[in-house]
Amino acid sequence: MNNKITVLVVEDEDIISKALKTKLEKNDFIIELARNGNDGVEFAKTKKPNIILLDLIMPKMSGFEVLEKLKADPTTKEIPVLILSNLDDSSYIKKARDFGVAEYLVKTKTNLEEIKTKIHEYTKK
Amino acid sequence: MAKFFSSSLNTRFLYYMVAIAGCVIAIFVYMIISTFTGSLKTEVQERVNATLETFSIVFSESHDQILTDVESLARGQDFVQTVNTLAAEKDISKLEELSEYVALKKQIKNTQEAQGLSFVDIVDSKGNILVGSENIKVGQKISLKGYVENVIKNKTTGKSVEIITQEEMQAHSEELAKKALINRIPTEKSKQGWRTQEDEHDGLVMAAGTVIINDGEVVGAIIGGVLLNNNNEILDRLVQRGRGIASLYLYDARAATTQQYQNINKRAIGTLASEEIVNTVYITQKDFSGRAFELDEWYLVAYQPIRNFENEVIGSIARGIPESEVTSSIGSIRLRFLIIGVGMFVLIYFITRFLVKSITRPLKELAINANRLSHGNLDIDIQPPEREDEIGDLTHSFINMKDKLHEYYTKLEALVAERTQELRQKVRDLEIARHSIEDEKNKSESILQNVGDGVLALNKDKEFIACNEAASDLLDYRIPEIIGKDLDAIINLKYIKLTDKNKDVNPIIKAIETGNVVATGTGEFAVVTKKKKGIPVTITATPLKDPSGEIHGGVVVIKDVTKEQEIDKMKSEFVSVASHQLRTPLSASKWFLEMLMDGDAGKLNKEQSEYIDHITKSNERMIALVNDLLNVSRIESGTIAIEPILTDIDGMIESVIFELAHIIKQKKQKTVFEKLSGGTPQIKIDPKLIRQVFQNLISNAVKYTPEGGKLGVRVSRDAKFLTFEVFDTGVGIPKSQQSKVFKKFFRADNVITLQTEGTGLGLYVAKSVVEASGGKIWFKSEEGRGTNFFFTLPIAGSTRREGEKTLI
Repeated sequence: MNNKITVLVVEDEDIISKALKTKLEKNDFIIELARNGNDGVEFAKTKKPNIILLDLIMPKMSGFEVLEKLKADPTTKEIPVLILSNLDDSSYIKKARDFGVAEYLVKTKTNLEEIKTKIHEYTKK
Repeated sequence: MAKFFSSSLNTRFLYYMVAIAGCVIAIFVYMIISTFTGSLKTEVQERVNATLETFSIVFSESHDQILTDVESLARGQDFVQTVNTLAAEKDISKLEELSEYVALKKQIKNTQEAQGLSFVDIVDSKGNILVGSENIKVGQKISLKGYVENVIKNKTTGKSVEIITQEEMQAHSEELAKKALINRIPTEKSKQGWRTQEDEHDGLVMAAGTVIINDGEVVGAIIGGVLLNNNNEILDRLVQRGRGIASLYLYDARAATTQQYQNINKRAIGTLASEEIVNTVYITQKDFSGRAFELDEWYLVAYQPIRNFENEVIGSIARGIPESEVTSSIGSIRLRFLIIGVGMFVLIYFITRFLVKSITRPLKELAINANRLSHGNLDIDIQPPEREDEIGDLTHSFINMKDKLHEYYTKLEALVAERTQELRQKVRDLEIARHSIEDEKNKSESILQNVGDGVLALNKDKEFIACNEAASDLLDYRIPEIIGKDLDAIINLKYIKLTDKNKDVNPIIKAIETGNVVATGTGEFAVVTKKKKGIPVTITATPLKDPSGEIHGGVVVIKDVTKEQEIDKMKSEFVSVASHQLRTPLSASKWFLEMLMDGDAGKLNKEQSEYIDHITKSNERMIALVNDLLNVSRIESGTIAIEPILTDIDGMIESVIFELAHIIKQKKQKTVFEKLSGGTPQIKIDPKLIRQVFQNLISNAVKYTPEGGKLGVRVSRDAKFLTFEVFDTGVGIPKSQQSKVFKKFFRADNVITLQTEGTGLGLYVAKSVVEASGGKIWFKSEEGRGTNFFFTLPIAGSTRREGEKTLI
């Protein structure tokens, strides 16, 4: 069990999270789902994920607010974050990079295979 | 004066002649009068001089009479004896007792009275009185200032005018002395201070004396004299014979004179001679002849000095005629000549008038006829002239001229009638044309005023010459404020599109200067109105050309696109939101399809996997469409960012071709890449943006080129720009649609029928990106032959621009 990588998916769209969960679980990842930002921050502390896949547009708390809280908390600060968003404006990308995210991936331009590879890449150490 | 010169020739000629005659006569009369006046004065003067001579002679004759009387006494034998006896008597106190004395006294008294002498004295050889006609005492001396002694001493006989002193006169009788007194009276022009003595007590005496000789020995002398002071008789006698005045002077005072004070019957005794007389007669001691002021008026006078025996001037005699007499005679002469002058003048006037009339009358007739002629009366009857002089010639010429004129006029009338007819027709035609033009104009005017968009017209100096209500409302200026003003004064355009600063050129000026129609798009320009309000507008500027192609102004259609812009913005926002919303299901589809393809839901058979492949492609197309829409919305919202970095453009082009390789292979197309020798230099551009351009252009080329066709990229450069040409041998763009190629959602008719995929956004995006990067894009195309797209990029690189968004 300990060898398994826990991935926290913070995503309000069920269809997206379902696709991710289906694919990633098939590849031996443990998937924790958070349907909003609050849950995302909470689960990041409690579930101790190895990596977080974070959507940006969400009700209540946006992805950036989540990032802010994660980076402010020493217990969650070191967890690598992959942004997985529909937004592709350079301003968002820049802002996210400033928060120290591992990668910024645009959903329509990214295959599940690529996501899998990126997760492996950032959880190796 | 002007009036004179506009008067008739007749009058002027007459005036000239009369003026000349008047001048000549005036000069002539003046000369005669002045000559006469001069000669008359000379003549009168000569006459005065002559009368003085006469006066002298008469005076001298009287004087000779005295001498004759004295001499006749002295020659009598008894008389000489008697004097001898008296002179021999030693005791003079007894002389008066002698009978000889009484007889002698009686004798000389008789002579004195008979001859009107003032005194007769007999003196001894020492000059002492032996006996006198008057009360003078025996033994008393009589001298007459040395005259008596001189007679005795030189044993002479002679006459002389001498001075007798007051004492000597008193010795003769008190009456004599009294008669001699003359009060000196200074006159207006007398010489003051020449003699200081106030009254003259001396007497001027006309004396004659001779020695008495007995046996060759002088025993005495006899002296007779007439006192001239106040003795006017001689002068009166003289003047009766002629006119004027006569005077005798004792020194410079009148001792006797015929002259009287004006209006007073009193002789001017004692009045002094005027200065010029004193200077000539008494100081330089010469005769005077000429004009002098005598007492109270001017005279023509002649003076001669009177000298005593010692040749001293003691007085003078004078004659004169009042100048007024001469003047009055001159006046009468002058009057006579004036009358003659006036007579001549009148005569000349009438002669001249007659002559002038004889010359000007035919001229006047000619003038009247010429005047009639000038009023168009060509039928006047002019008599041929009787005279053969210049005026006759003139009349002949005039008649000729009239006949010629008559002839020409007749021809001209016919011609004018003909031309008038033509002209009337033309005027009618013009009137019709004018009406139709007016109708056209009214129509145009009403169209112009009823157009909803602002329409303005400019001349080639870029001044407004027309404008409609809509333009006036839009710009906040009243129409009269706009007309005649400069373009810049009224239309203040601001370029508002952020993506390209280079295009900040006034489209109106561009149209007028280049002669091309220039139209701006929504969101490019805003106009600042009079009230400083910015209104987004589109401008369509059309140059006005005359048939020769020369530009003489432009028409500007200005449209308020505030609403359009708002709609555009809403549309962009809508597209943006919708696109994002679309991406979620698209990504989900993409991923589930991926899982299906990967066999995550079980292995697929060939047919299933083929279907899934179709769905995947459709899904990708959908994603691409959404991306294009998003790009357009970004471009239009003006928030696109440019992040230039040094880029290997050759590599970029190769990778784009490579990405399309499988389609190219499918369509058996041939691709070419003509690089610059040494490769394209690396320049600073936004690689994501420029890649999009290449992608759009090359994928179009692939898409619209039929199987087996050829396409490629060619690179060239100049000093400032790199030019990229994407060419193909495809279907081409129909000529009629070429102007719309870069418009949003444009797809040419011929490509729609090809049923190829396409959004109509690729070229719009490409153009926006190229222009935002500092380049230009254009194309040439021939339907059925192929299309060449060209775009440039500045070698200096694109300008960095911060923005929220990049293209996908």
